[in-house]
Amino acid sequence: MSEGTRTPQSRDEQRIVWRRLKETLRPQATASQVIVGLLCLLLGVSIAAQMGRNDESLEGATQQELVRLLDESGRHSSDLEVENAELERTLETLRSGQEGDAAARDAAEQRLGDLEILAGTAPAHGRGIVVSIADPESGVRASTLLGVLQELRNAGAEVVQIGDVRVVASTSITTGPGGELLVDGTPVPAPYTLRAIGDPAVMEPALRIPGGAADSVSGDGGTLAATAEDEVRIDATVTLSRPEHSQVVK
Amino acid sequence: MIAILGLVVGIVLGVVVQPDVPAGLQPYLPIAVVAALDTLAGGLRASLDGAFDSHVFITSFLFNVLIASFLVFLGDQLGVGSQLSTAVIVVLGIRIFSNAAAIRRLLFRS
Repeated sequence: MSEGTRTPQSRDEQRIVWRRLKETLRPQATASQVIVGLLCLLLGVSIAAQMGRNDESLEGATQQELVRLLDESGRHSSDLEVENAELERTLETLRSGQEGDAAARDAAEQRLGDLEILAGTAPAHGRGIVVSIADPESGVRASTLLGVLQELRNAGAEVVQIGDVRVVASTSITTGPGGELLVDGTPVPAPYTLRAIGDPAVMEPALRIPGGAADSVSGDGGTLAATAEDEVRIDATVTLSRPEHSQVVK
Repeated sequence: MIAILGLVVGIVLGVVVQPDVPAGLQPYLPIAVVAALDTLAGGLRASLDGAFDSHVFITSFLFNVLIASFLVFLGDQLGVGSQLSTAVIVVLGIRIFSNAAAIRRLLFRS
């Protein structure tokens, strides 16, 4: 192709070339010029169409590119699946940990309730009996009242209140200087009222055992009356003092 | 002149209308466009040489486009479509550059 073209040697030849260019650029309404124009129009449309089409990335991609893209997205999705599985596991672990925590907290709360009832720091209610001991002659001794209390405890009383004093492990029943009864140092006037939470069907007969609590009260000149109740409320509480010398063995 | 006008009008028309390329022609269009550009450069050079013949231009335009498309088609059938497309593009590119160089030498003598 390049053999046919000579580089112009002189200024005249150069001028001829430029004139040819002008001639070429001059509009000529010949049929072949129109056809050339139409072909160029077609070319322009094609270029524009091709440029527009390249914006849609995947359509013009070759087979290899598509395969590569597919591979990449497959790898990506499997990576994501692995990550998803890990996160699921973490979530499961956290959830079961939370359940364990909740169970532990429930157990601890239940244990706290039990211990509060045992220690006497919380009010309690439940079915039980109300024992009233009438003492017109002021003859009931502290040991007799203690006997009644022991009998109730033997019969399974869980929470006991004498007068307005909650009975706990360290409760004492003594006789005051004026002959009145003291429960934990608090004077309790007659008639004495004992409220006990427990099984009434066990506690009530236990008090009436021949030679037992009721008979002892009678021997002291008092009378003992016990009534079973479905709802006995015990509102008296004690305040705990921190143990000074003892420590828990672990 | 009409050719340049047609080219400009065609590009504007294509940008405005955004024609849909038929799916069957899609692999061949880029090659065909490059082949047409090569013919255009060849035509301009011929006209500067004073050897421009519109019949030759029209037939070579159509033939170049058809042959380029056919080569791509053949490459696709043989399973070497992308390589053959690259080969055609390289050859056409070289021709465009050599034509452009010839035109430059004719116009500026350097």
